Amino acid sequence: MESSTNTRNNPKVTDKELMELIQAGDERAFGILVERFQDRLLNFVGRIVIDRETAEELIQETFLRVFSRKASYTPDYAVSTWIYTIALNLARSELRKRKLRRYISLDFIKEEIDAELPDKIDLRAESLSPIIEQAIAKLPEDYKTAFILCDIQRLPYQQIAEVMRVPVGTVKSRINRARSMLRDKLKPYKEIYHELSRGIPQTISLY
Amino acid sequence: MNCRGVSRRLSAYIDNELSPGIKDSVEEHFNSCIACKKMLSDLKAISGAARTLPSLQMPEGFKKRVMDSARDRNRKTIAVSGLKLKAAFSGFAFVGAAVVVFLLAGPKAPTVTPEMTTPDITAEIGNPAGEQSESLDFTEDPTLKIESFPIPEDARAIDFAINDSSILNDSLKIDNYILPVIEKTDENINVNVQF
Repeated sequence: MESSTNTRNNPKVTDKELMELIQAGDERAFGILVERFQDRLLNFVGRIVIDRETAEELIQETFLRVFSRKASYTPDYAVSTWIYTIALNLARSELRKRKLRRYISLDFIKEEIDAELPDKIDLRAESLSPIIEQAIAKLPEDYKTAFILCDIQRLPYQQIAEVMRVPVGTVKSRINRARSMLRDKLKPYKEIYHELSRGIPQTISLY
Repeated sequence: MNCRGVSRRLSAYIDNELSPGIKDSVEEHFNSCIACKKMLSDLKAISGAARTLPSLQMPEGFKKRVMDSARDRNRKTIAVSGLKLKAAFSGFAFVGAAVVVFLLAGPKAPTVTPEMTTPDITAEIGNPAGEQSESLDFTEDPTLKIESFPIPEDARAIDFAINDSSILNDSLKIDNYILPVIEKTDENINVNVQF
């Protein structure tokens, strides 16, 4: 039998084929799907809810829903679209709950986000990542979601539209607006993010 | 295309999401507009910098945690389904048993027997002509109600007389009428009709 890592990296086993196996009751296929999507979802949901622990719980719930509702999946659309949609709905629900109870999960994260971006521009490119993360976290929710799905998850506009359930034109507008807002926020670091965009290796963790 | 139109399409241009015709128009604008070209460069760099952000990784035991939870939830779902099935089966069984018991031991459909019919008044008070009188069978004919009972002409309305104990004691009540007490004589007899 093929190891799960090889299966995960084997392009011959598509997401849809995995779903078919899961629908047929193959537990191992479900494990492969979890491996395939867990980090991608963490990089998505983690930046939406800005709390790693909550993000892990939401992603776990996402996979549990995928498993329990496997019969409802139809191959008319991508498996990733379905999974991202479930994750986004859960993340949005979490944000709504927070708004209702005026709750931010971790104070230090809130302070970090609320803090003004530093003025100094003598930062090394490696040090800019937390500042970019901070700027992304401050974007309005819909712009942030579209930006993360595009520039971090690297989904095509059509798929982003399906996940967010908005027209493609709206996605274009939100991504453009998000990038323009980040450009304004990161104005003091213009040269550094230009340098960063040329691909300097990163070692800094978000949390 | 002017600067406003181009600036709205910059990201779609970067991501190659423009139709060929519009893409040509945007590129043509860049040839004559340095401001839009600079903005294009900045947005490209923002997008590029975001793509270099460190990737977050799930902890080692995450997959196991998900798999265990999925199994656990699956077990609970099966258990709940089993309980529901059991409850449904028990319900059906109970209803079935109740129906059987009702059919076997429940009240039988009313059957008319001579004993159950109302006494033949005319027979009791005598029928000189010797003809068979018509019995008042309330069980067999549902349309035969008390209203059809012959009400004597001297019956009084009970509406306001209900509190009159003497009336209640001395008279026979049938619906809204108080029948006069028939004194037992040689020719007649007190009639007690019970329902």
